[in-house]
Amino acid sequence: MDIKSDLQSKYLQVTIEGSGRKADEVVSAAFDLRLSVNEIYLDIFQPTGYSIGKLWQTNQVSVAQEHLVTSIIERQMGELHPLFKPKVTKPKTLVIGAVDRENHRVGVRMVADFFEQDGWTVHYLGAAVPTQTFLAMTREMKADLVGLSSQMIFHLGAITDFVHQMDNFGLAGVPVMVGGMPFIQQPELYTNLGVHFSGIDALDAVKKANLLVN
Amino acid sequence: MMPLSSPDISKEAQKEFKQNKQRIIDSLVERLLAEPGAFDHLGEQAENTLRAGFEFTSSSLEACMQINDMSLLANQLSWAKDRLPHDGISMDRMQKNIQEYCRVISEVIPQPYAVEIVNVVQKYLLPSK
Repeated sequence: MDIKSDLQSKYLQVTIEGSGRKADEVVSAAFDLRLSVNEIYLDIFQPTGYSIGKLWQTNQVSVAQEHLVTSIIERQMGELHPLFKPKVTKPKTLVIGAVDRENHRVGVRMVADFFEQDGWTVHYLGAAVPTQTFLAMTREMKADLVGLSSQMIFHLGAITDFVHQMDNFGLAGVPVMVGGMPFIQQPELYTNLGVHFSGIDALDAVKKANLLVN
Repeated sequence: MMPLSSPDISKEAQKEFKQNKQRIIDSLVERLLAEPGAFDHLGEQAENTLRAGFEFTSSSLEACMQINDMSLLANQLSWAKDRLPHDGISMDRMQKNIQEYCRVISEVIPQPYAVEIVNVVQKYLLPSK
């Protein structure tokens, strides 16, 4: 087992046990081993999020344990956020959040932090953002890019609703990126939704956005 | 903005399903619960379990119709095969429930729209034994 896998495995174990303090120790150990904050997000937090979902699916943990792990990850992301301070700023603005009724927000928050680190001005709206207010905020912030997250298949319709209403808000031409489990399971899915791209993770999303938005 | 592709399920069928979704779920749950002994092992949770399951299924089906990608339903079936046995729904029972779901759709939604939807359900959501 390599270092990252070992850390991730320990992290999953201690968070399932409910120990945020032990999870802190794993993160400290990761820094001691010279992992970057990006690697901690992508190689420890993200796979732990996927693993805990799978463990619930196969009845190996309860819903409460799943929420506990997610809460620990979110708390640590908040603490690590200062490390995402950009070295340079770019004249680009992202408005990003989870679509209407979509309560999963860890993944979209990771993406928001990576964009901030890359120098974008980021307006992260959190979970379950009603479509009308999401559109209004996108217009108000003069977004160069919109990010929409849907972890559950049955919330994908909210993405098409958003896209269909962009013209009404004067947002025609503003590119849209999407993310979430359905887009990881099916990477070409975004082409059906009338949006511009999806990313497999936060790093991929930033790379694709910078190619698209000049 | 890139154009949305034309739907596999007609707009009329989608509209019928959306309008009748709740009626389909209500009717299906009532019918399944009426089957003697079928869900006794779930006790007081039987109705909630069935209702939540078919709300999840119907919302997923509706979304897949809207975005014109039925293959996503295969992921849902895979998920259900993992999860439902732990919720007290066996594979055999899941198959019977989906068959009943198809019958209710055919009764509630006018033909030929029901046929469009039932074909998709049978293709993507009916578990093989």
